[in-house]
Amino acid sequence: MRMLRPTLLLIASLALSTCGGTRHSQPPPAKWTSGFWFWHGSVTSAASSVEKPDVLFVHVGTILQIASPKLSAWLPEDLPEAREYWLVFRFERQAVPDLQAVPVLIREVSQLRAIAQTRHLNVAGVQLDIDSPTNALERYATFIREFRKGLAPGFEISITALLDWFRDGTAIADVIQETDEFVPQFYDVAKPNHNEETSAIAAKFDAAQWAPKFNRFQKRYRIGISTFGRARVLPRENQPESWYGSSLFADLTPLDFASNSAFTLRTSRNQANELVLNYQAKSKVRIGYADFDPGGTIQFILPTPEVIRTAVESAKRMQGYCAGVVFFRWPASYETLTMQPDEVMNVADLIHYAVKPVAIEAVQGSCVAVNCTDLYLANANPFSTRSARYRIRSSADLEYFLPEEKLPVRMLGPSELELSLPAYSTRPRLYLGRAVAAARVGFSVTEEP
Amino acid sequence: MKISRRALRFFGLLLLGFGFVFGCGFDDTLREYLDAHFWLPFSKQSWHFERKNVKRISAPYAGMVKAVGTSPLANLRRAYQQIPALDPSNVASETALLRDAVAAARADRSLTPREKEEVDLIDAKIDMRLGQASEPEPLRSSKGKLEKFLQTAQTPEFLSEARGWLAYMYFLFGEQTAAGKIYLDELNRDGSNLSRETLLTSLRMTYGYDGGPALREHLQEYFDTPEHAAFAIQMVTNPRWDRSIGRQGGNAKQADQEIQWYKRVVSLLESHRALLNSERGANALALLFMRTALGMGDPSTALKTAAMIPRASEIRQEPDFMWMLASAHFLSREYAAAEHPLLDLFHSSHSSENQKAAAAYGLCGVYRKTGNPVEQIRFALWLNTAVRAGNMYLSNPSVIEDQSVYWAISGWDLDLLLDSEAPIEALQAFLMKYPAVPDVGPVKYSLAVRLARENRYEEAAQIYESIHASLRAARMRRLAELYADSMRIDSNVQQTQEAKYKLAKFLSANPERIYFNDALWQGVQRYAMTGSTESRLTGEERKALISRERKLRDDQEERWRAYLILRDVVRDSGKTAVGRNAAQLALGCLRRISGRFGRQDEIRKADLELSSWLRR
Repeated sequence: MRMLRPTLLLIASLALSTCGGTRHSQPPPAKWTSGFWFWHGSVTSAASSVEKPDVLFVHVGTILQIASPKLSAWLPEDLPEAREYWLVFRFERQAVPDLQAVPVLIREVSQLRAIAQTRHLNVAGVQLDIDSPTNALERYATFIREFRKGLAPGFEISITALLDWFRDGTAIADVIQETDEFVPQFYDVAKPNHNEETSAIAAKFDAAQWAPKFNRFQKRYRIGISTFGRARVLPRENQPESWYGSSLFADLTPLDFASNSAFTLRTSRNQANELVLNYQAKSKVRIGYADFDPGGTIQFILPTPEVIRTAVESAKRMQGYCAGVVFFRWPASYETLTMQPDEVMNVADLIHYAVKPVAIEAVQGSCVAVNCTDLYLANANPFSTRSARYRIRSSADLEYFLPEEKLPVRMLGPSELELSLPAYSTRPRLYLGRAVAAARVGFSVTEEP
Repeated sequence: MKISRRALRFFGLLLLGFGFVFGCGFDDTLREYLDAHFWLPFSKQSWHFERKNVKRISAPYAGMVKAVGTSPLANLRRAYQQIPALDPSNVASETALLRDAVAAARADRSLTPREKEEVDLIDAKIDMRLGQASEPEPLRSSKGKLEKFLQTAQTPEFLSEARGWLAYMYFLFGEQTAAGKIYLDELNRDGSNLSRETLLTSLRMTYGYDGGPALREHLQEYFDTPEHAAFAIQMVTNPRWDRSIGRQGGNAKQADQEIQWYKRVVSLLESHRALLNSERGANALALLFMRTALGMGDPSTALKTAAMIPRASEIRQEPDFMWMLASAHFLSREYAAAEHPLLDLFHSSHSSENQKAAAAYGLCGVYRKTGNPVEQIRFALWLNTAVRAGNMYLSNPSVIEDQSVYWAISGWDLDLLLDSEAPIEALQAFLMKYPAVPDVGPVKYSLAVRLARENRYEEAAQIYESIHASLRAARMRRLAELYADSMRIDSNVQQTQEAKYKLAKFLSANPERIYFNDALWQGVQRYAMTGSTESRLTGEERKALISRERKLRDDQEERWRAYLILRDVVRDSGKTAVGRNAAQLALGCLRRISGRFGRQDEIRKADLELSSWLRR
């Protein structure tokens, strides 16, 4: 339409026109909701079998500098279905952005909101993910107050909240007064440290301790829960602390180490009850781009069903103004240590599915001249404490099989594959490789004693 | 200084790498005709559904003629035209002024019926402009007024405009079907007051690439007219081919759902055959059936449907038909049968550049499968020329708007064909048959390189001279002499060993200048060697590919070939001066062999043996 652009601009400008007042207390939320943070890089395909989440907090922009109003923002093209969406703006520094950033932020919000509207996404509000220092909370409150002035009435403001803000004597009340909801994050509350046993991602929380602290504001809040894992090289005794800050790995999996005889495994649980796997090198070895000397250790901290279940149960005990939970995060395509959304929702008792037997999922490839099939091992227990051996049989002879790199799977015969998985080394859906045959074939799997 | 040089070299290479990646739109795909996605039907966008020679008008929109005088209508027009400049902080009072202006104009009894309609339309548009996401009530009001207006108004240009705005309201309220049908009808309506560009943009905004879930959900509602049905079916079956998703992006459940979905489309088509019962309509229906069958991976049904279309039917001349017929044959592994429709498509004056590219690349596949490297070179070369002429290398394949089309941007298919896959005789036959095709130079250059690898230096020199590659030509002449010396039967043993040593020394001093084809590869050849991970070939083809890749690595590596000669010299000369020199030189060759070569264990072993031999 000739007038489409002016109309959108008008809508956007009108959205800026009304000022909101101070947010007063609310009635307690009527409905318990569950949601995810959807960060850039997250993939919609992870939603294949999941129940639609109530809320999706979509990372749409990053405030780049404190003073200069620089901002990069866009709405991901492909989003999983959710009942409600929030636009999340992250500030990467531990500070409060300068007020000069407010008009830029408002403009971006208006534009993204208009885009979301054309895509018929139900956007409820904007969430600010700003790790303000605790002693700068008053400035943060001012920032939100100014930001509010540019938003259309009814468009809500949510903030993520650091636990430190809630200790006595802070200005957290001023901040929360300016918002419609807050989301305390119960993870990554401390930097990883030399003590491998105490490092944790999740923060254990006690509803009895935190409920009074949060409910007293009479504002809706949700509890942020981690569902991601992490791999890091443990620092050696004589290495400076800063060294291990740069040694986190997103692409390594326990399988990379478990299937390598140069490593020995030691398992434990940390204070948050997350599973900790320490693989220690016996000799000099290179894995991916990381070199390990003898004694060098890589540590995996993994979310477990029990940790998530306990966290959700604790959140439910908060009662009062607690409106639900938000899981960090919807997995990205490259992430191997983050739980899948349906798995998270299942353990959190938000959806239910029966435990299925281990199976081979065969996905037809798109080959013209041959029949190619991608094979996945499905439903294996990622937390199995023992190694397992599987025999995979095809209904007809294969021409060849291309195993996934580093995966211990091999052809025993023209119609038989063997997969040997060490303890803790599988995933709920593990890609095995591609089978190629002249015609379409079926596959079955049995676990060997 | 040493560090600086290394740093300089490192950053230089890094810069070169970034330059290549960003400048050339890095594309690492090969043999895409082996992928079923490549053969999916062409995608359709709104402009494909535009009737030719639609007679549009361009009358001012309601309220947009210049406001002259102080009549109530002029005042209303003036006020309406001020809306974009409304003071956002004072919307309420400004809105009241607009309402007053509408009321005043409506009260003017001197208005003609046309002017009354203009006032009504302006009234509806004011509501529309005051509405927004958080305050949809004015939008609803506008929608109601527009619907009412369309029932009573008579002025063609206002009716057309009102339909456009109503469609926009439907769009804002998420009513894709209602919006889309209006836009589509208006696109092909004589007398429409909406511009072609506006309508195409609106259709694009309404449907995106394939209509999304809303079109799938409401597909049945489009079977009210043949035009709506054809539009909806073609949009909803637009192919998706996201090369950025690797093998692990698959999901069996989603694939099954997709098949079920296509079955539903077929069932809808079957139950609405009557909608397309003219001869032309029946053939169009056949095209839709072919498109759907290919979408659900059923080429045999597509072939059967194609066979039912009369030989003389015009529809057989349409690029879509030719492509789908070829696809159905190729996907049925009837490779030779795909040749004719692809050639027809390639030569058709109705084909777009994208469609010609699809045909050319498809023909590369056909000739690969039918063992005709001469014609394979011809079309691979055409593609390479077309890519460069159209600056296609600036576009990553995954962002090509038509997601069913692949442009062979990397050029690796051609490079491998010339450098390894096509026999020397095929290159010679190609040059005999097509001596004057554009960009024939790389074929000649490649033939010269290939001849050099066969120690046919004199022939190589002549070709290099013919294309003014004088440095290479001179090198070939010198090599011809050295090689001849090393092969003389009238030399004694020592002379032969010395001649071989000289030949090897020359080779080792000219890495990538003799056997390596520097005209084809841009420093990324190793990424084009994908035999070990290629899974679209038969077992036999894959073995042959891996073997060819190994041979290419061996044949093109000057230092390896020099080492092999020197190894024989060491063996045959023993601990003589020439033997020791050969061993020293051989060690140097081994240690400087290019990383792309491979054979690491052999190199390490040979290095140890020679080092040990020299120490003894």
